[in-house]
Amino acid sequence: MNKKLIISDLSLAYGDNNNKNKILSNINFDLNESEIGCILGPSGCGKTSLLRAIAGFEDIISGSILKDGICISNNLENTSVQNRKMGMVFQDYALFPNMDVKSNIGFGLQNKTKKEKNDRVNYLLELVNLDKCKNKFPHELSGGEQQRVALIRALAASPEILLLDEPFSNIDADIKESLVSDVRDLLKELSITSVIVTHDQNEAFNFADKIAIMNEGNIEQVGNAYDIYHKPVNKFVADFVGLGIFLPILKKNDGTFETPLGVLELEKLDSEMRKLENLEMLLRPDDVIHNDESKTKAVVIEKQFRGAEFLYKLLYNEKYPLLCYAPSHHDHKIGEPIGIELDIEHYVIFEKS
Amino acid sequence: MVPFVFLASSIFFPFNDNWLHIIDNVLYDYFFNSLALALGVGFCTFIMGTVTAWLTSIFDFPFRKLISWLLLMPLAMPAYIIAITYVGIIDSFGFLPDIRNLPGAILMISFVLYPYVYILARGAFLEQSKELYENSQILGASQLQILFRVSMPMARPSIILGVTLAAMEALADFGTVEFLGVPTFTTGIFRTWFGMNDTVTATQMASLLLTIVFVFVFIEQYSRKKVRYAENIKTQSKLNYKIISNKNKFIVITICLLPLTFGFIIPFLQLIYWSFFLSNEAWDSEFFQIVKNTIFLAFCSAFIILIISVLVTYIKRLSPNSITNKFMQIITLGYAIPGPVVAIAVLIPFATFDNYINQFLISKFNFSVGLIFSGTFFILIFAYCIRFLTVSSRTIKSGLDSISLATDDAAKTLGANTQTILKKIHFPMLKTSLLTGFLIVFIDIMKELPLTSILRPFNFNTLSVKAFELASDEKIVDASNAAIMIVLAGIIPVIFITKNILGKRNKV
Repeated sequence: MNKKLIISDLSLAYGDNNNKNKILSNINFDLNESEIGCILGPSGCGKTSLLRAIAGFEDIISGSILKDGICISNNLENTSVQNRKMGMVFQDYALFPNMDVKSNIGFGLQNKTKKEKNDRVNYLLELVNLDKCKNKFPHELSGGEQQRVALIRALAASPEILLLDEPFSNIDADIKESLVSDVRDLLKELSITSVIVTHDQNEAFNFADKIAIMNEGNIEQVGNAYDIYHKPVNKFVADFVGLGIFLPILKKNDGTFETPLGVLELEKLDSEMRKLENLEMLLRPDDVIHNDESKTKAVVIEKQFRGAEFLYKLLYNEKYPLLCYAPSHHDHKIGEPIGIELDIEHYVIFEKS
Repeated sequence: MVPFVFLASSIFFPFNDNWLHIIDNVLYDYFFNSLALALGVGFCTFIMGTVTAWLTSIFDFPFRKLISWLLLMPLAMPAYIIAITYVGIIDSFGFLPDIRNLPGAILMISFVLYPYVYILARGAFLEQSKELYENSQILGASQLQILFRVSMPMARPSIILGVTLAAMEALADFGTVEFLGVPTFTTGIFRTWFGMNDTVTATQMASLLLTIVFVFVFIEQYSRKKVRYAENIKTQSKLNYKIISNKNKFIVITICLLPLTFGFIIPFLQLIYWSFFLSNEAWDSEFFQIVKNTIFLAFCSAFIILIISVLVTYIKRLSPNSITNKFMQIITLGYAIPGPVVAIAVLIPFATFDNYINQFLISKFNFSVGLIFSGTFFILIFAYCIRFLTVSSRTIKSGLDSISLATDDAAKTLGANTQTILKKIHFPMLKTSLLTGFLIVFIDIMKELPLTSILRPFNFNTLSVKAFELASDEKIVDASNAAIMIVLAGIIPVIFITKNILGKRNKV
C-alpha cells in the first residue's frame, strides 16, 4: 500500500542563525491511507511543533515531509499552508468569532457555488447533529459544540489529511470518552488520514491506530497501543505510559536472574540482556494478580477505589513496592497482608540508570 | 525621532543670560507648580475616581447604571473650558473663593480627569471574582476591610495606571494653567519662546520638563505590566450588587453625583445659559468657517494617524522583535509629552531645515522657495501624530490582540490568503476598535490647544483656539458657542465607548 504521509529525518529549530534552539531532531513517522496516527508526549516535548510542521506553519531545517510520495517540505522548499490540502482542528478551536456557525464551516469553500456550499454545510451539520446551531455564533455554543464545529469546518473542503491539536483537552471528562470514539468513528467512516497530538494516553489508545511517543524532540517509539503499553522500548516510554514500578534484578554466578519475587525464566530473556549486569524489571499493575489462596503475601500500604476495581499499592518483604489491580469487592484494609501471584506474558527489562 | 534627538542635544547648547534669569527667578516656581499640579491632580483624581468606582461596583441603588456611565461625562469637557466657565461663574457671584491659583487649577483639572481613574478602577473592581469576595466574608472581613485589604490591593496596578495618566495629563496641561495664571513649565516654555523670543532657553526648559515626564512614563509602563498580570486571572462569576438601606442609597447617590455635578452639569448648563446672551453675530459665517476648519483638520489628521497606527500595530504583530518595532515603541511615547514641548521639538528642526534649503537654493540658483514646511498643515499633522499616535495604536492593538494567532492559522489551513484573512476576519473584527481609535483622536484634536495655536497655518482658526482667545480677552460669553461645540463633540465618543464596553459585558 502506498504511504499517505512520510516524515523522514525531520529536524526543526527556532531562533536566528546564531542562537538555534533545536525543537525536533531526526523525526521519522509514516501513515497509510486512512490510518489514524497519534503523537503522544508530555507538554513541551515538541509534538505541536511537529504537527505545525506538517501543516506548513514551521519551516524545517533538514529532512522532508512527503504526501502521496510528493515532497511538500524540505529545507529548501515549502508548499504553502493554503496549498497542502490539509485540515486542522486547533486546541482552542479558533472559530471565527465574527461569523455564525454556517459561515465558519463554509469559510474554506470559497470557490464553490452558493448551492454547493449550502448543501455541503448542511450535510456536515447533520453528520454531527448540529443542524439547530446553524445560525448561532461561536460564543453561544458549548465547548463540545464548538469542538464539533471546528471539526467539520476542517473537514468541509475534503482535506487529504486531517490534523488535530489536542482537540479534546477542553472537553469535560464526562462526555470526553464518548466524543473521542464518535470522532474516531466519523474519521474512519470518511476514511481520512489523520494525525492527532495529545498528552493524554487514554485518548491516544482509544483514538489512534498508530502511536508515536515523543520526548524532548525525539520519537522514542512507534507502535500500536498494545505494544507501547506492554513492550516499551525504554524507561521513558515505560514510565510515561501506564502505571508501573521497577523491581531490581540480581544476576547470580550460575547465570540465572533473580527478582525478589522469584527466578526469571531464561528463555524469555534475549541474549543481549543476559550479558548485562545491572538490570531492573517493569511490573505493571496487571502483571500482579491478587489471589487470597496464594502463599506469597504483600502488605497493603495505599489503596484507591476506582469503581470496578481497586488499585492497591503493596509492600513486599518490607522493602519492595508493588502495584496491583483487584476487583472492587476484594476490599482489604491498609496494613493487611494479601496474597499475590505474578502473571507476566513477557519481561520488560532495562539496564539500571 | 529627529525632534527628540534635537531636544536631548539642547542641553549642550550654551546657556544664555535668560537661562540664568529663569533659574534665579522663576524656575523654582515652574518646578514647584508643575510638580504640585501633577501630584495634586493625582491625589484628587485618586479620591474621586476610586470612591465612585467602588460605590458603583459594589452597591445597588436606583439609577446605578445611568450614574455609572454619566460619571464618564466630564471626559468630554476640556480642562480649560471648565476653568473658563468657573471663572465666569465666580466673577458673577462675588462671594465665591477665587480659583485663579494653584489649588483652583488642581481642582479644575481633577474634575475632568477623575474618569481615568474611575474607569480603570471600576473595571478592576468588577473583574474581581465573587469567590474572592465571598471568601473574605467567610474569613470575617467587613465591607470596608474587604475594600482596603483585598479589593484595593488587587486593583492597585489599575488605580496607579489611572492616577499616573491623570498626573501626566496635568503636567502637560497648558490651557488651564495659562488661563488661571499659574506659572508652570508649559506656560514658562511658551513665555520664553514667544515672550522673550529665546528658542534656546525654551528648548532647554522643554528637555528638563521631558525628563520629569519620563519619570511618570516609567511608573506608568511599570504599572501597565502589572495590570496585564492581574488581568490574567480569570474570574468565574460576577458579584451580585449589595442591597443597602434607603438612607445609605441616598448617601451613595449624593457622593456619586458630586464629581459629576461639578465636572460636567454645572459648567455645561452655564455654557448653555451664556449662549442665550449671544448676539446673532456670534453665529455668523466666520463661526461656521471655524467649525468647518476644525472638523476638516481633526478628520484628516485622525484619518492619517489611524492609518499609521494600523501599520504600526501590524508590524508589531507580524514581527514582534524587529528593529522597526523597537523604534515604534519609542515613537508611541509621544502621548506623555506636553504640547508645547512637542511644538518646540517639531518646529525648530523643521525651521532650520527650511532655512537651510532656502539658503542653499538662493546661493546656488538664486531662487527662493520660502519656507517649505513651517506654517503648513504638514507640520501640524506631524506634531499631532507624535502626540496622539499612542492613543489610537493602543486601541487598535487591544482589538488585534483579541484575534488569536490560531485564528489566522485556521484561516490559512482553510485555504485563505492574507488578503482574504484581512478582509473577512480582521476587518470585521477590528471595525469597532478602528472606529473607537479614530473617534478618540478626532475629539482629542478638536480639544487640543497649545499645538494647534502654535503650529497652525497663518489665519487658520479652530474652535479650541477661538474659544481660548475670546476667554483670555475676558469675552467669556462670546466663547460659549465654540465651547459648547467642543463639549458636544466630546460626548459622542464617551457614549460610543461606554456602549461598546457595556455591550461586550452583556454578551460574555
